[in-house]
Amino acid sequence: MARIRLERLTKSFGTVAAVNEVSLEIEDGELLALLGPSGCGKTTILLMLAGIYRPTRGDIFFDGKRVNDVPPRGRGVGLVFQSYALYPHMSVFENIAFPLRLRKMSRDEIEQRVRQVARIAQIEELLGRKPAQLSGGQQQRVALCRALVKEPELLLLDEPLSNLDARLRLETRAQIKRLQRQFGITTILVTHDQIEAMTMGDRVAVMRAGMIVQVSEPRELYERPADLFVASFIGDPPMNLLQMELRSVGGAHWLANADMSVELPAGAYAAIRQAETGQVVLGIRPEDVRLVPRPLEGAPAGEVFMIEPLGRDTLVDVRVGRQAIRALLPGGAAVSVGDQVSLQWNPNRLHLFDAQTERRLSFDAVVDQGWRLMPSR
Amino acid sequence: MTRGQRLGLFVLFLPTLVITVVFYGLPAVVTAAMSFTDMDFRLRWNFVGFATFLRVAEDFLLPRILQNTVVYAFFTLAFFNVGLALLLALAATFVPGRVGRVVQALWILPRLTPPIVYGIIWMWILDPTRAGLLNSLLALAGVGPVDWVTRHPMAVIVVTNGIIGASFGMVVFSSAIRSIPRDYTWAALADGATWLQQVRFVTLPLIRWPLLCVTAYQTLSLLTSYEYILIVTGGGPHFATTVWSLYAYNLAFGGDFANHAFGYGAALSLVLVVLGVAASVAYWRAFRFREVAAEPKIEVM
Amino acid sequence: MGERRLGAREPGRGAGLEPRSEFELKLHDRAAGTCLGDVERERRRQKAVSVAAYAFLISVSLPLVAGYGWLILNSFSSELAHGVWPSGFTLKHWRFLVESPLPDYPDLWRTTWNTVWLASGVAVTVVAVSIPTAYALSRVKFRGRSAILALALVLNAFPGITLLIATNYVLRALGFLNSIPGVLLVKAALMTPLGIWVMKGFYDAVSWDVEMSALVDGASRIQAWYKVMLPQVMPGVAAIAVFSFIYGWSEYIYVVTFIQDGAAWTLAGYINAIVGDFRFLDYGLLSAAALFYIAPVLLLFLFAQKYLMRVTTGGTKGGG
Repeated sequence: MARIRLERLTKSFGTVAAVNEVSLEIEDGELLALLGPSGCGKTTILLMLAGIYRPTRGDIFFDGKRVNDVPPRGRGVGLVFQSYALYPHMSVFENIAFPLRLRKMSRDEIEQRVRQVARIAQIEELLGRKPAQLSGGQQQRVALCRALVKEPELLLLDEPLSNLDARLRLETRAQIKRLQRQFGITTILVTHDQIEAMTMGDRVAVMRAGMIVQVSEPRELYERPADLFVASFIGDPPMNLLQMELRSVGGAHWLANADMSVELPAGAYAAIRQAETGQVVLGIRPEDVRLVPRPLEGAPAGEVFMIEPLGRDTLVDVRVGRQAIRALLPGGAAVSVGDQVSLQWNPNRLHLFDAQTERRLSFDAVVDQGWRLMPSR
Repeated sequence: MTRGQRLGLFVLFLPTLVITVVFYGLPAVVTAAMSFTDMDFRLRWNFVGFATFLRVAEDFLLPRILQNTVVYAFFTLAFFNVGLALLLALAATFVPGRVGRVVQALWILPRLTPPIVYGIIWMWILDPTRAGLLNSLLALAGVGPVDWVTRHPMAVIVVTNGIIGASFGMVVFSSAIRSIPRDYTWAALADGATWLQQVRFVTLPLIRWPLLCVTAYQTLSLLTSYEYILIVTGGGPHFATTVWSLYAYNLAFGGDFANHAFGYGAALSLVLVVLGVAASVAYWRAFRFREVAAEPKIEVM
Repeated sequence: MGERRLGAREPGRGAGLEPRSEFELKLHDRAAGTCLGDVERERRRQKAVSVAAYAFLISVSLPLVAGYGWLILNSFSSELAHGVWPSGFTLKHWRFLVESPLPDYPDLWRTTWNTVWLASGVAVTVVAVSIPTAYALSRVKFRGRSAILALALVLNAFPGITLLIATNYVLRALGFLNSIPGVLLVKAALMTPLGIWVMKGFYDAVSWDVEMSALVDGASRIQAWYKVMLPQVMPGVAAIAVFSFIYGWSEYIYVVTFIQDGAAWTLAGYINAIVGDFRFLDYGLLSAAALFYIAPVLLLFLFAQKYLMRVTTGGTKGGG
């Protein structure tokens, strides 16, 4: 169980920096999810933590001790690959026992430990089989056991759920979370799936192009994304993002673009002024959008052009001028294609980003500033 | 990497380096050196400058031998090593898989057979008396026996070597054809292609690379090897089937008409060695782009 | 056909009856009479091609079958009518197994042992050198790696037989001429580049994840190689071993040229002598001796066929 610290970690392959000055601290016993699109460098960080890649620059500390030059076998790390990487010529038992055999443990102790961990992962009856005879989910559990059996200081998981079908994914998600809590091992989980990251991580670090963009608890990531990238990456369906410009007449300020105008929440003006160009991106999540079937003063209006029923919710696409805004409505939608609707939302749920720097513009909205949540019917 | 690890790697590659030096580098140098001597069975290093090369250039047999070499290489390559091999591989695609595999297994036999045994089989087939296969078949048709080796020496060596070559080519082409994704064949069929068009526009272009590869390697092989010719015709009636490489060998080791002319043989061999080196380096260059010598991913020892 | 429109899906409308697509219309018209005829014609054409292919394959392979069949049949027959039909089973051609065809011949079994010695020596040497060398080339990062890779490729392509005269001199100078070890070294040297190349291919095929996993599990590089990589490339090792063995067993030109001492002959030399003395005289002896020589190769091939196929696609030697 260890505290992990990455200090300005950099890894270059030739002239390309796959990981660029990444600094991160992971608490003892924490499960950190490393989230980002393919190729953003997250697996490279994992391999550096395991000791297989050498950092080009920067340092890695396990419990305050610098481990850059320590080979993999000296680090006490457990690693589960996306492909599971089970040894095909060994049985499941031998696979799990392998790390212990390398440590020259006694046959009895190995037997005991392997059976114990296999029991916890519920694969005890598979011990005699070969990897080729197992299903994907079973293989993964074997790989997990192999990583856990040596009681590692740090557990690394590379896209653990991506090869599993939807049903298995839910089970395994819960299982991994449970195991991690039970053993209390510091864990880093790498994924491109934001649902995976949000549901499993105590904290989530969002990465892009080799750099960390934001590290927060899942809630924070969802409610206060630090920039446009995080805002559009987190949340499914993704946040509506609208290019807007600040307009001022006399003392009145509002945001407008070619298709609509939106009144500014009170505290927002000061924040927007920080944006040099006055160009702003307005963000509102589909689940925060409400549709009103008649014109409302001051609210954007448009025509419904697509309805996608998802069972529990309904996704409605509304065309406002040339732009499309999505709303996620609970239950079945009371609108039909072609209806004219107005859009309204709680100003607290608005997000504003500087169009040029893409960073978040923070403000505190005051409710009831000319807005009242009208019932949808 | 530590010093110890570097040393370990060096020791690891020592056998390869020794082999390269002792069995490739050294003999190449010796061949060159020897060709500047007039060494014979007395094994004396008597350097005579270019005298040996001049003797080679003035050798009255040389034009004939050169012609033999080119004719032999060309016909064997075109009709058998590539031609027959391709036909066999293609035909195998139009019959059920099981049959194809049996044919392939059958055709790998010549290559696996010890050369002298292969030679014995052909000796029987080509026997000039009625005991030989061909002649006894001719006897059935009422035709008198033919002395194949004496009458048609070039054809004999082309066929005997060709079957060995076809055996190699067939394996390569078969696996190349089998690895063509089915989608292409189906697309061609959907477009209404006949089997001939399919072969011409889909199969052949897609095995372009193995085809080129085999042709290149086999050409080099045909120009430099002579084992089977030696066994079946020994160089043919009066040099009729003596190719360049065999000429060198016979002069050095032939005994009956040569005096262990090592210097002379080396001079002849030198041409082949230079050719071999040039070709091998050319193949390396050509394959470099294909052979993705991907960098190892583990950076730890 | 011009009247019908191409259908298009409109949002918000259900599936229902839509106008047909062009493709569907074509099929519909075709089916009305002409389609069946086309199918029948095509099937007949396929059949014809298939038959032609069969005919070709059989006619071309017939000589092969005849040749090898003769080898087996003739060694056991007292007479072969028209060279193909056996009559009269006999074992007299196999006398050479117990008594020498001529007094000055070396002992057959000694010669056979020499052949085994040569063949297994070549196999062991090639395998022993290829396995670790190919691993380093495939999986270890070191300076000069691409140079050695290039060397292996070039040596693989180079026709070693052009160096026969010089090699003869070198072996003579080293004192290895006229002996099995000398030929053994030459054969192994000529075969090793191929061995390295084939083994490298097998190593390359093992996923990096598995090797990385072994390192993380606590293995050193060498342990990872021995316990995880090696077991997975065993098919390659088997292929190279079998191929090298056959290569050594069948060797002719180096044996015949470099070894004059009958006691150090392999079967190639022995049978070469038989051919020299009994050609045209005793085909029975010739075929029996040849069968004796080729039998182990055939057996080995039957057992290891799968492995050999993998290697021959990488082979470049001979064939001419």
